[in-house]
This record gives sequence, C-alpha cells and structure tokens, in this order.
Amino acid sequence: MSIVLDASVWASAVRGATPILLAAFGCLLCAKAGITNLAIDGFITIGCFISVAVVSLTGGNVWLGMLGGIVGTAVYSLIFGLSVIKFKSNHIIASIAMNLLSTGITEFLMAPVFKAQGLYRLANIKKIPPVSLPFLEHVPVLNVLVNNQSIVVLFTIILIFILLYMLRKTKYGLNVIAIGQSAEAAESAGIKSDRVRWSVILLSGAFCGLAGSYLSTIILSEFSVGMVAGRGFTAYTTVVFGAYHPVGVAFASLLFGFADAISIQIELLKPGIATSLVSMVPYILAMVVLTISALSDKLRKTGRLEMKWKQRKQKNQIVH
Amino acid sequence: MESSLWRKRIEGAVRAIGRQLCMMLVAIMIVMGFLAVSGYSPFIVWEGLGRAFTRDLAGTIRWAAPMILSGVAICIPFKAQVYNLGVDGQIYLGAIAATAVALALPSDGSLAGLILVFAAAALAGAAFAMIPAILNLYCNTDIVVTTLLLNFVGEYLTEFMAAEVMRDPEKLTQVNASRTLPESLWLPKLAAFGNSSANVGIYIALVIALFVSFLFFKTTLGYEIKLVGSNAGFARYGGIRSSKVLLKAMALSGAVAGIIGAIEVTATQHRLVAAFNPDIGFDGIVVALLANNNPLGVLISGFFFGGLKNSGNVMERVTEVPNIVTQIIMAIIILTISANVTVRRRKRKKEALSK
Repeated sequence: MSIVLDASVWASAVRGATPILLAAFGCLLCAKAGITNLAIDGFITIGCFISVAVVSLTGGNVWLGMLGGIVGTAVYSLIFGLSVIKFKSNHIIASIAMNLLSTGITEFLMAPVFKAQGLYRLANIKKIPPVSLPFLEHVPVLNVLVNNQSIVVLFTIILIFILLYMLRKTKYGLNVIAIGQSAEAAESAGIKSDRVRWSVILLSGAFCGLAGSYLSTIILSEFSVGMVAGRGFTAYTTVVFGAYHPVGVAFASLLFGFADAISIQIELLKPGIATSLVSMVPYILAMVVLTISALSDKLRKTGRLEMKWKQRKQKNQIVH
Repeated sequence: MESSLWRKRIEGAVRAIGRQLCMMLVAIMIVMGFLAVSGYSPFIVWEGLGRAFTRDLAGTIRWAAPMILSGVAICIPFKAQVYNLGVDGQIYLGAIAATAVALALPSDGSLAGLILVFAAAALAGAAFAMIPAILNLYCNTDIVVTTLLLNFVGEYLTEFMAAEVMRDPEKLTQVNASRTLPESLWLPKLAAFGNSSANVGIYIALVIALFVSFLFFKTTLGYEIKLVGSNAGFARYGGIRSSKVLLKAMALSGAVAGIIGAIEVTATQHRLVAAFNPDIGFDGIVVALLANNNPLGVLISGFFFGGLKNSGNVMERVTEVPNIVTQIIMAIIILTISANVTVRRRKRKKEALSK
C-alpha cells in the first residue's frame, strides 16, 4: 500500500506516461480524422533512433537531438501518408508494414551509424536538467507530479489543453472532426480533406518523434532494439480508453505510467519475482482496460446501462 | 466454352503472378539502393537469393514450412475480414504446449507421441486465439489491438516458462531454455539433403495448406468465411451467424499457428528457448497478401519468402549485411501490394465510367 502513495512512484508514473501520451495525441488526431494509425509504434522507434543518432553526431546536444527526432519522424510519417491517403491502402495493414519497416531500418542502420549491434549507449550526452518550479512547492499534488520534471513533461501537459482547445474551438480542429465523421459531407462543405489528413499524419509523426527522443535521450540515454516495447499499441489503447478526449487520454496514459512505475518498484523490492511475469502486466492491463471501455460502450449503445441506472434510481426512490 | 474459361483463368493467374513479381522487384530495388547508401554492395541481395535457391536449398525448405503455415494462419481470418495479428503469440503458446507434452511423455512412443505433441500445440494455439475472438464477440473489444497485445504476453510467457518453470536444472548456461526433448520426438530430417536443417515440417505445411484450400473452396465453412468477409450484411440475411464464423476462423488460424510452434520446437530447436520466434507471424501477412489470401497461392509465396528469409541468413553468414534486410524487403512489399490493389480498382472504375 505504501508504494501506491509514494511520491517518487507518482513522479516516475508521470515520466512513464509522457511518451505514451505524446504518441496517443498523434493517434487521437488521426482517429478523429478517421485514420486508424497503429504505425505510431514504429514512429516512436524511428524517433528514438534519429534523436540518438543526432545527439551522438553533435557531441551530446540533446536539444538538437529532439529537433531532429521531431522533424525526421514527421518526414518518415509521410510514407504512411502516401500509403494511406494517396494509395488508399488498408490502414491496419499499412500500419503493420510501417512498424516492420521501422524496426527493420533502425536495426539495420545500427551497424553503419553507431558501429554497434543491438544496443548503443550515448557516452557524451549532455542531459537537460529538470525544470524546478519553486512556486509549486506548497501545492500538494501538483508538486509531486509536475515539479522537477523534464521540460518535455511540462510541454506535454500544456499540450493536453492546446489539443482540447484546438479540437473544440479552432477551424482546423473542427475540420478534422468533420472529416472523421463524414469525409463526403466535409468535402462538399469545402474542406480539403486530403490536406487535413496529411496534416494529422505529419503531426502524429512529430509527436511520436518527440516521444521517441524523450524516451531515448531524456529517460534513458541509449538506443536498443525493441526499446519501444509496444508503447504505440499501449498509446492506442489509452486513446480508446480515454474515449477520444484529450483529458481522458491523459488520465488513461497516467494509469499506464503508474503500472510501469509500480512494476519497477516490485522488481526492486522483491527480486524473487520473475521479471518476465512483471513485464507482462502492462499488456494485460491494456487488454483489461480496452475490454472495459468497449463493454461500457456496447452497453451504452444497447441502452442496458441506462436501464440499470434507472432501475437503481427507482429503487432508491422507493426506499426514500 | 470450357477451354476459353480455363484460358481466361490461366491468363488471370499469370497476370496476377507477374504483378506480384513486379512488386517484389520494386521492393528489392529499393533495398538495393538502401544497401548502396549504407556502404554495402547492393548485389549481395541477388547473390543471397541465388544461393538460397541453389546451394542452400535446404535452409529455404526449413524456412518455407513456417512461412507457408504462417501465411495460411493469417489468410483464414483475413478472408473473413478479421485481422489476426497475434500469430506470433499463438506460435509461442503452441511451442510451450508442445514442449510441455513432449517432456512429460515416456520417451519411447515415437509416432503417437509426436501426434499428441502436435495436437497439444494446435489446441494451445487455438485457445490463445480464442481469447481475442471471445472478447470481441461478447465485449466488442477491438480484435486488432488485443491480438497485437497478446503477442507480447505470449513472448513473456515463453520466457517465463523457459526460464523458471521448465528450465534445465543441469545446464548452468545463461540461455533461458528448457530440457532437450527426447530424440524419439524430434521431427525427422529430409534424407535427400543429408545433415541439414531441411525437415519433414515442409510436408506438414503442404498437407495443411492443401487441407485449408479444400476447406475454402469445397466446404460450407469456407463459403461462410468468404461470404462474411465479402458482404457481412448479405451473409446475415442468408442465415449465417457471423459470430460463429469468426470463432471458427480464429480457432483454425490459432491451431495452424500452434503447429508452427510445434514444428519449431520438434524440428529445429529441440527445446523451448525464450524469444525463439523471429516474428514469423508478421511475415505471414506478406505471404498471405502476396498470395491474395489464397491458400494454394500461399504455397508458392511461402516458399519464396522461405527463400528470402534463408537468403538473409546466408548474407549474414557470408558478408556483414545483417539479416534484418529481409524484414525491410517484406515491409516494402506489403506497402506496395496493399497500395496496388486500389490503384487497379480505381482504374477499372474509371474505365466503367468512360463507357
């Protein structure tokens, strides 16, 4: 029980949630525009690789690495756009191909770029120090969650509200939603649907690039094969569980960050438990979460949930 | 009348194969450019492919079996427009079940024991594939994501079984692996290739691919699967319960995947090794796509990709090019094929409009 309330666990939960949330934002935008983007998993891998490559080439400059990760991954995401928008491929199959391509290319380029196999550690990295916010010191919850975190974490938190505003109030956001609901109707209203689709895929690439560089140059300082470990799929799950709403998605990704942090604690405290079993937890959690949200959605659609609720209400009235 | 129909069919088949060959050539060209940019000789791909189909044919046959089966496992639910992307996880479960049964059996029952091992593997794979199917049926959970997530569960479960439960206590190596299977339960090698990795698994793959073709083209279940895939509304109108078809297709696909696990364990690994599976399940997607979800076509494309996979290993052995190159080729092939289908369709639409 003490683990659940531990401040350091919550801080590390926020750190773990950040890359998932960033990727989830990309997935969310694509989903709003009617594109099933499971390629985010591969995008994160590419983001990790490019930022580590840039950092190692520029003598440890993490800022440049981040920039490279964002731009490079956005450019890479054009391949997905080409396949999905231009050639109208099946979204899921194109996503899987992109993921295979991403892991293939990064693993292949490890030898020529890093002169390494499987794992490359950045020796000369100049880490960005965490941002301390002195005015938060007396605010109970926020201090633990937000203070002394990386700048990327703060940016991601601000991004939740930017996205919320964008999807609700701006013309661009409404265009995105309109296309997702009915592309034909949006077209006849004068929205250039393909242009909007390209933009959401580019944005998802940029977000995933940032997620990748956060993962590889701020949390860790290395690139290894399989380091993304299905975070893109987890991100997709948070989008569904968060009911396609930026704040909901943020809480869902915090749940996964928390599960991540707890499993690290368990491994530290009880070394007897097999690591393979602990590693399984996030994936099973993702399935449970996905099932819950799908089930509640289904019940809501068939109206059974409301019926039960009404019955309960009537019962309560009788009691009173 | 009859002959012209046949000629049309043959022409169509030839055209289809020609188009797929073009796609593959495009993919290989891109990868050659890629190799040249990163400082390798681009012609290594051809050398590797050439060797894979001549001198190292045994390795090609060894890889063709899992490729064909994986293609079959993917194409059964694809035909019903269901995406089973969890073939890798199901392979792992099949391998776990195969190893558990093989290690528990008395060591002298050869053929009956082997059949039992394969049955257990097929059951385990089918059961693991039923999880996402049942979740999809009763809770409406997205089958694509659950199958993808279960891949990780399967992989870690294998690591757990190999490292903790079935670990060989006598061997103190770092490798997480179980005890070696009794030799009577090893799948025999192909005698024609001498002491190589080519094994009887290819016959099993052949039989299963033919069996599934029969299922597809000659039975009610195959008809139902195709109908649900092409027009679910019409299928419902015709009295087909798509939920039952989904369950059957997923179970069948999982069983085939489980058999891949059993072949890998009994024929090549001879024990349960953690993370033994080099993403065979995802390779199955490209095999099935290239064959246009036709189990007979899977035989050809599976054999080709077995060769490709083997050529990757040959390249890695002979030169310094890592065998991951094959994965890049496959990814590009998937991208080009999935794009091509709609381009063709659009052209046809335009023709229809101009008429």
